[in-house]
Formats: sequence, C-alpha cells, structure tokens
Amino acid sequence: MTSNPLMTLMTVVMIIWIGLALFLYRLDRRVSKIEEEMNEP
Amino acid sequence: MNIYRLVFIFMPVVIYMALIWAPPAAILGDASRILYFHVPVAWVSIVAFLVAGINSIILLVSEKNRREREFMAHNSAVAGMVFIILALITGSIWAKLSWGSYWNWDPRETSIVILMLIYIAYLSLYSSLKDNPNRGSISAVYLIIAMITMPFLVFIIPRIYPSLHPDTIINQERKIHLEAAMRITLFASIVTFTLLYGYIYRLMNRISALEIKAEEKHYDI
Amino acid sequence: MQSRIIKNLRKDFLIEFRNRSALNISFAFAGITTLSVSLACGGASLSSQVNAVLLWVIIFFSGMSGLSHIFIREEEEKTALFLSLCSDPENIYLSKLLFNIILFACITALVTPLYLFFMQVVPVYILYFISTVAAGSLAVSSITTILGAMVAKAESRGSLFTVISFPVMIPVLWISIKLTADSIEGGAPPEVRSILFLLAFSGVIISVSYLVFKFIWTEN
Repeated sequence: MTSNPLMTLMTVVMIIWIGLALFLYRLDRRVSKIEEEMNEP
Repeated sequence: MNIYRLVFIFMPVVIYMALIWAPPAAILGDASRILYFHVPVAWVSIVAFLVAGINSIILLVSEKNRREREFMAHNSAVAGMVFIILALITGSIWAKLSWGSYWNWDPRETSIVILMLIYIAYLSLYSSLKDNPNRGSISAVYLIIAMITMPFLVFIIPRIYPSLHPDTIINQERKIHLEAAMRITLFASIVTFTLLYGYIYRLMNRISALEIKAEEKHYDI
Repeated sequence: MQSRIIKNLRKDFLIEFRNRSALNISFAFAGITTLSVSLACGGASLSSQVNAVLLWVIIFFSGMSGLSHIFIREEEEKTALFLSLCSDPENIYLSKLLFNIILFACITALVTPLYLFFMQVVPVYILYFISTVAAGSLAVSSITTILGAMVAKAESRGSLFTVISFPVMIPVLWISIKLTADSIEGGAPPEVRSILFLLAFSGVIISVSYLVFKFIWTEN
C-alpha cells in the first residue's frame, strides 16, 4: 500500500470522515425525534 | 430543507480533490495539501465569530427572541473556538513543514493566538455570569467588542508588520503557486467547511432551543 | 448634555477625594511596582526592548488595579440605581470615561518619569516616546472603561476584569511596546502612522462603547 501514500492517507481521512458523519447524522436524528415529542402536547 | 446536510456529499468529494485530484505545489510538493484544510478552518473560525457578533448586535437592538439570540451567539462563539484551535494546530504543522519550526511568533500566528485568547476570555465571562439575568446583554457587548478587534488582528496587523518574518502566505501562494485546479479545490473546501460549520451551528441551536423548552415545560406542568 | 457630564465628573472627583483610599491604592500600586522593578534590576542596563516591555507591564497592571473602581464603587455603594435615574446612560458613560482617562493619565505621568529615572533610560526621540505612552494609555483607559462597567454589573471577582481586559488590550500593548522600544533606542525614525493607529483604535472602542453602554447599564 505504500506505493501511493497519498491514497492511503485519503483512505484514512475518508474513514475518519465517515465515522464523524455517522455520529453527526445520528445526533441529528435523535434531536429531530425529541423535537417531535416536545411539540406534541 | 436543511441545506447544511449537503456537507455529507461535499466533504468526501473535497477530501478526494484535496488529496488526490489537485496537483502538488511547486516547492512544497504534496505537503502543500494541508492548505486545503488549514485555510478553510481558519476562515470558518472568522465566520463563526462574525456570526456571534452579529447575533449579539441583533440581541441588543431588537426586543424579541432574546433568549434564542443569546444561545445562538454563544453557540457560534463555541464553534469558532473549536475551529480556531484546529486552525492553530494545522497552521503549526504546516509551519513545521514549510519553515522548520512549529511556532515562530510571526505576526499572523500571534494575531490568531490573541484572537483565541479573546474568545477564551469570553467563555470565562459567560460562565461566570451563570445566574445573572443580564448575561445575554453583557456577553453580547463583549462579543461585539471582540468582533471589532478581529479585523485589526486578522487583516491589519499582518499587513503592517511584514518585515518581521518572510511569511504572510496569502500574498505568496495566491500570486505565484496556485493553478486553476488548486484554486477550485481550495474554494470547494472553503464552501464545504462552511457547510460543516453551518450544520454544527444549526444542530447546537436546535439542542439549545430544546433545553429552553424543557425548562418551560417543567414549569408549566 | 455637557453640563450633565461635567456635573457627574465633578461628583466622581469629589467622592474619590473625600475618601481617598481608592486613589491612594492605585497610585501606591503604580509607585510600588515601578520601584520594585527597578530594585530588582539593580542598576543593570537593559535593552530598549526589555525596558519597553517592563514599562508597559507596569502601566498595564496599574490600570488593572485602578480603572474598574468607578463602576464597582457605584454597585457596592448601591448608588448605581440613583445615577441611572438622574442621567442618561450616554452622559454617565462619557463622565466615567473622562474620569478614567484623567486618572490613568495621572497614573502614567507618575509611573513613566519614575521608571525613566530609576532605570536610567533616556529616550532618543522624546516627543515620540511621550506621544506613544499617551496614545497607549488613552487606548487602555477606553477599553477598561467599558469592560469595567460590564464586570461591575456581573458582580464578579477582581480577576475576571483582568482576564477580560488583557486579550483585547494585547494589540494595543504590542504596538505600544514596539513604538516605545523604537523611541528609546532611536534606530528607526518616528512612525506617526502607528500612533494614529492607536488613536484610531481608541476612537473605535469609544464610539462602540458609547452606543452600547445603555444595554449594560440599564437592566431588563
């Protein structure tokens, strides 16, 4: 894999980003759920 | 609906563009790719602080939505802190690659540290005003003062003192080294990180609004 | 409006002179710090850069000890409410600002010659040196007035005032130190541009504080 270190770096950064993105997205969904609950009564 | 959600598409694209698609720079080579992360992050911190300042002005001037404006200003300042710390870290990594040492007390570097100190002072002020009903107004005033000193620090001082250090990357890089592909990547990256900030800012505001609602509900029921 | 401002100013001066403890403490702090620093240096001849830094550090801390007093006194003596009934916030701000400027000018006028005397420093460009110290201390007074008002309303510890003031003051200190060092050393010719920058900075802070003061002063 070290034949193209840039490719390796990109894969690493992509993995980090996907992890962050999933986390953020999950937060987003949880907040939306709570907003719906709050607006009911 | 939530335009900031575009960041989920833009970011992987920009990562690819920054690391693979864009050509390496003339002297620094592949190490210059850090540009596509350092500049947007610094830019976003300036935007965040501007947003905090503008929210503060609106808070003071208009009567309605005071509580909302208060947490909006605060959240933006907090986000700005995160991004400015990232800017300092990425900046010193780049400094090590370009000029050999992690920190140089160059006017631009020093100005950004001062800006960070101002916002750390703001956070101290905000937390010490916890039970004070005027917290919104007082911290708004400080954010406005901070927003005013920002142009002096970020734009004016680095222009006045160029001779202290042969830096100020902006003039060099933009004029000599940036080709079209690099410019596109940089622009795309700036937009993407701004979207990221917008996303996080909006999320923080939603959570703060819920916190306020939760308080009110306990009072009502 | 001017008579209001002058009346408030006279009132502040009378109160401060009637019970001189606060003034005494400010001046005593300034004098003692200057003397301690010169004592510690023990007659060694320092570079102009170090002299400039020491001078401004002393000036800065003298400011921190004395300049928030006029607002904190109002809160402690519970006279703040009556004051806001008598005058507009703008007039109050201007009179407090003038008080601080005059007070700090006196403190600086005490500290600077004392420092020059004990450290045996003679600036090459004397007028440049004086204008730098004057412009710098004007900027310090402007910043500390509005921040002092905020801290007084916040009912917080004394160190909060220093923490808030210092970062906003760093650009002022940075430039003032550089200009002072230049004027002591005498290498480069006087740069009027930078002094104008200090004055412009003071002007901007004063204008914004003038507009914004009523939001801090009157509670909602």
